[in-house]
Amino acid sequence: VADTSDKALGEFLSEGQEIVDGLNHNLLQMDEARTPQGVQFDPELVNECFRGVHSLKGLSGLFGFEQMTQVAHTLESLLDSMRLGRVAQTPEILDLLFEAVELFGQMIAAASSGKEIAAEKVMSYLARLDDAAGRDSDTGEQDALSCFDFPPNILSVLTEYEEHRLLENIKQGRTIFQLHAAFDLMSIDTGLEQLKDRVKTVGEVITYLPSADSIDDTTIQLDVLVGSMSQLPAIRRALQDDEIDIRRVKRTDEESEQQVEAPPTPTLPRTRGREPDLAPDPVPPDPTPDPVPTPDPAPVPAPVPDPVPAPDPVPDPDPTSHDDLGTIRSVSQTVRVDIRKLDSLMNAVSELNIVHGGLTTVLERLSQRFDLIDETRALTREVRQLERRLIDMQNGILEVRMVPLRQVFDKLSRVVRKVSRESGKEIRLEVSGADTELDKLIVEELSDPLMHIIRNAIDHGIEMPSIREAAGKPRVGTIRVGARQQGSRVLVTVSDDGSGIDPRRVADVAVNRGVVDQGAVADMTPSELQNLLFLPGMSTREVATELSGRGVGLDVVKTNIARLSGIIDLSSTRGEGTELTITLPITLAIIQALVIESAGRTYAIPLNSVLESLMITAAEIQTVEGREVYSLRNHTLVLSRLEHLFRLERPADKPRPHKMFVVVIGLAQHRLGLVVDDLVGERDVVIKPLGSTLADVPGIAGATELSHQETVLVLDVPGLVEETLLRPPAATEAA
Amino acid sequence: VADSADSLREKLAGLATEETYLNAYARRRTGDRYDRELITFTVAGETYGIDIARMQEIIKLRPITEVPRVPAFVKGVVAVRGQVIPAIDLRMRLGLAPAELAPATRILVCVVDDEPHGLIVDRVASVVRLRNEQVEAAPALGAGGEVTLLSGIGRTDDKLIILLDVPAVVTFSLEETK
Repeated sequence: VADTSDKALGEFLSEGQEIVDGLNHNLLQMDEARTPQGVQFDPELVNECFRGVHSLKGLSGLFGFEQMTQVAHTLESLLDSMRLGRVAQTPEILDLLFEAVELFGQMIAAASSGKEIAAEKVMSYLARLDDAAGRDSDTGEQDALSCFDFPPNILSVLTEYEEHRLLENIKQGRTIFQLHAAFDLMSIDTGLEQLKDRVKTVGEVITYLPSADSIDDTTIQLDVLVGSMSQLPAIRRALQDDEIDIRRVKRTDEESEQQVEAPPTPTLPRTRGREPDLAPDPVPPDPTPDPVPTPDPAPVPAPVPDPVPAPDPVPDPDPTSHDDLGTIRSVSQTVRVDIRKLDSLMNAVSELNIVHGGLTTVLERLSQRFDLIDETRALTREVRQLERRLIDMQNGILEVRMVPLRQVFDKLSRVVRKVSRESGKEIRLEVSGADTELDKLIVEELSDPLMHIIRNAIDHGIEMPSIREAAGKPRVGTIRVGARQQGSRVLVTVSDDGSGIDPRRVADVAVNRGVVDQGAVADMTPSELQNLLFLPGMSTREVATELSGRGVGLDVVKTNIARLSGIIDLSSTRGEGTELTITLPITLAIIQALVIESAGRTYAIPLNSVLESLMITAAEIQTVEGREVYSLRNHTLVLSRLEHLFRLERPADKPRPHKMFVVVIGLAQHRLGLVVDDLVGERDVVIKPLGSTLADVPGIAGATELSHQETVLVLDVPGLVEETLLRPPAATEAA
Repeated sequence: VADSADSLREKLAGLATEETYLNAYARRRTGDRYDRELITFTVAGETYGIDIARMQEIIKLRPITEVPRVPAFVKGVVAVRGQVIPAIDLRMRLGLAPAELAPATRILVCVVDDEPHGLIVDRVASVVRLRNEQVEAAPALGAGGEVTLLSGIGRTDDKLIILLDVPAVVTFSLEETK
């Protein structure tokens, strides 16, 4: 399709995806603002969408992706019409816009392999876009403006969009204010931005333009038109600046300030040619002092951080250029980095750590030399400095890798919208903790499992509206997705208020499919039965629906989570709903590890899954049904000897010690005591994969270099816990 | 007389034989034309070859970290330039007795699908250039599984070189018998 280098194409794809994600985010915000009465879109959001689509059009044009350019172009026209109020804002339009997100996503996916998507798909969408854009909205509202006492020159220079916004504000019964502010020429950019931000807390900036009466060469005076539901004192408070003149733009048919304003109606007499209608008297700035004393220092409402890319930080003082928004010029201060580059940086840091270790060894030897005591001290200081810098560097790289979960959660909202519509169920998605940050790799890998869980919740969990009502539940089902940090882990929960899981039904299916045998099922608790769902070949519905797909069940979800060193837990109450909890490490790049020895071999255990470690003697070990256990604070802890687990041959010079150590590992509510010979210490380690040939060795998560030429394996704690505690007897390998 | 005969034999040993002459002549005649360049090495007395394009490097034996729950021919993993790679005992992979680690033992780091793998061999021999007509298909040596690990037999004037199918060597199931 496009004749460009791979690198440039990659850039395009990721930037394109970013724009589409942004578009999705904006649409979701618009969707949230939907009320039962109808839809009222935040004009700023429509603008954001417009700018995004405009950029996408430019980009795709540059790279020769014609389909994308075509759709972006038509979409841009529709969004433009929406901005200008020519197209009514309806839920159907919103759906149409959401469809664009899907379509662009498919196009980008296809483009990455040099393909295009089916032409008829594009054609049908374009036709519907045209259809929607052609639909007339009521346009009988023109020139409600003439009965307002605007300053003379303003109306003649408004762009079509600004005029539309002005009318829209009046139509909604907002009061129009005119601000007159002076800015220092040197700092007008930041000053104006600040003013706009402050106005946004109480209203909308309709336009701003330079005022004629500039005092001197170093300041510039701007007239700003603002629409707001608030009254003058509130505006004054929000501006936090007494220097700014604020004047309410009066209606010409209005007698006094005290008169209660009736919202102007669009049925006002139409008059063409506004300029001559207006009295050319320049309105003097309102001299009356603010009736309400400004609390000083005013409580500054913290500006809400914008989750979408910040708007163009360079305001264009020329209002006529507003139609020209959305260039391909990149405005953000960010650099896009391939995560693999960060990996290799991290590798470099870990090699530096090894060098540091070598230095420390030399230092130890030097400290024996009393004739070099001063040099040794000096060197010790330097090595400590080096150590500190290394830690800074490590943390810096880790920080760069962190991204908020919002990226994934936004995608989920889209899935819920789409799937709930297809299934005829009514569902509300509640998201919390979207700002929780995780390693980029984990966030990426989390998206599929979460998507699957959500689909399961909609497909199997939430009931049809009629059934819900019959059961005395609210008609609309709720799915909650939340994330929060807990120490060095992040908990992601997905819960629904659906029908819950029937443990007996799970048991029946499990036995029928030969996943477990009848005898094993009889001894299981309801919770254990529900957890059978994570085994391969399980699905509670005999009929696989189109939504969840056939054959892909929670076992795949579980495997994917385990690959991220995470563990997934399920709890469900019949009739009330189901909750899945995913516990994940914050990062996979570098971890703290407990280094242990067993049968002469050294291993590292990720510290975030070590709960405690204790020293015991052989006499303290008891057995229950042939399984070794230890009584820890009145709880029975299942023990597993690492040498047995891994079938390690004990070298002759390493007899089994009399005293041994139990490392209590676990995630969520599962606990396992790993019996080892010795504890060596704690270390910061970078986990490296074993390569695809050995990637699936059970119980091993990777390897790490402890020092030069000493490579040790890192244990996969979720895997070990799973194979020892959770796998039912029938599924374990014959030991 | 016996003395002078011995010294003559000694002198002659340093001279070219007819065979070496013919070999050198053949090489000159073919010029630099060749289709493959192989690294050759010995495993249990036999000469094997791997396409040089696959080679990343040859390293001396270094401590190998044992990995549990893998087939016995996987000796473990070693760290090479910041990467952790599997080390496969080629003798055992070919169904022979385990390698005796000796000073000449080397690990050949070969790249398969962009990932380096280590192959433990007895000794590295030399670089050999072959033309396509010097290579024949791997013989079907009965039903032995090891045959599938060969991609052909190379024939030089003086010896046979067994061409190793490296991707097949590093592809195995973890459940394979120990």
